[in-house]
Amino acid sequence: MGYFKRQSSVSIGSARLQQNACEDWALLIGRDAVGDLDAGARDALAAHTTRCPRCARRLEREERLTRLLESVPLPSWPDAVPLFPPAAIAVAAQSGRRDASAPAREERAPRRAFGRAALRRLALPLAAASAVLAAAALLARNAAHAPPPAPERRIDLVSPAGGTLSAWRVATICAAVEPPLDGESIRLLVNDRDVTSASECTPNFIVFTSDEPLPAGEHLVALEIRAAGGDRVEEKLWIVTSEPPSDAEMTP
Amino acid sequence: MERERFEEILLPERARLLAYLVGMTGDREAALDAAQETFLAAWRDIETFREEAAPLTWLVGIARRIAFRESRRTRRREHLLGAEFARRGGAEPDEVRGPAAEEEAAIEQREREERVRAAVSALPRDRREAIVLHYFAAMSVAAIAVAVGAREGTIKSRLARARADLSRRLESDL
Repeated sequence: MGYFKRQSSVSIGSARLQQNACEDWALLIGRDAVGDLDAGARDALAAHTTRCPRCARRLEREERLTRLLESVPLPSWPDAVPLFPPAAIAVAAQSGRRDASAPAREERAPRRAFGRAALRRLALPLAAASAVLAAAALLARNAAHAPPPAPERRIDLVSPAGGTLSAWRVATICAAVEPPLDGESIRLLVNDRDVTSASECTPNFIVFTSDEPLPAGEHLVALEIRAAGGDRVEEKLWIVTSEPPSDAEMTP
Repeated sequence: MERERFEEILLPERARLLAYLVGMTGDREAALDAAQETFLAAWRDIETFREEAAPLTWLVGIARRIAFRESRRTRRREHLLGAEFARRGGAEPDEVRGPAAEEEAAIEQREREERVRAAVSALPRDRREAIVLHYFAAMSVAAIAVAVGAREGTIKSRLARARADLSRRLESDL
């Protein structure tokens, strides 16, 4: 009790904690467990827990939780499982690579300018802006490089690429395909929902605009190209984050 | 980077990558598939790897998109299987039991591990990811922040909230 009489509160950062307000100290114990306390705060916490059995028990409990989580062993990689998917290794072997245990590295496709007709069909301003940016980037690369070997990778530019959307505006998601589709089909999925029929498609582009804003949080976007026979020849996955409006956006 | 260097740098991270994927998908087979797919994508995108960067951080950046898809598939499959059992009025399938001679302590440890995994898999995705990367894959807060493209403060806050939740769910083990 003498301690509390001598010093009834302690400052940690901008906060001033009452020595006997255990709920305040509990917050600090939680922060300490994730390494969010500086040396001074840790010392103050250590001093408090030597005098407060309740907080000492709480600290001990946090330490047990850490040990429990850290006790989960690392899984082992089974010897029989190769590093790469067997299908990719088979393709590498068929293509006669020197090292058939590694899959063929895909080469970048030769770049072609987008057709003006295709661009005109993209009515939405955002989609048009994305298309113009994509065309500029691809034309620049075209000028700089000689034609590389036969292409395998087709899906090139995606928008928003792992980026952020506003959770209060409709979402526009688009992708460029180079060289253009020729007999293959394309499918766009947002959170496993096929939105291809609701998208505008050209041989070079696919653009999807949602009817409503996407809910706040992360959303998985998948784009697939399938051969005429239905086999998937390429897939690209990316995560877009839909964020709630900022305070600035909420201000009229 | 040639295959030898690829293996030299990335192979040591196999187990920690798998730990992340098991934690995120909740299914070892799906995690192995996702890990193979991650290495394939890494091989294809190897030009984007900076050797001064931490290999696991780079791999996790690739793996989390694949894990996102796999965890949705796993959960949907579990949901469908659960619905099928309910429709048939049958019980859940028997648990796979270890050998009878296994020592009690080992069984207890395995059961505790299962309870931890179940509690972690019930967390919201972003908190689950932080816990799995920090405790199961032993990544620092700073490395996690780079891998998932968030601020360190955000990761600490996710960890703190997840721990508060886990503390309640794992009451009997604490």
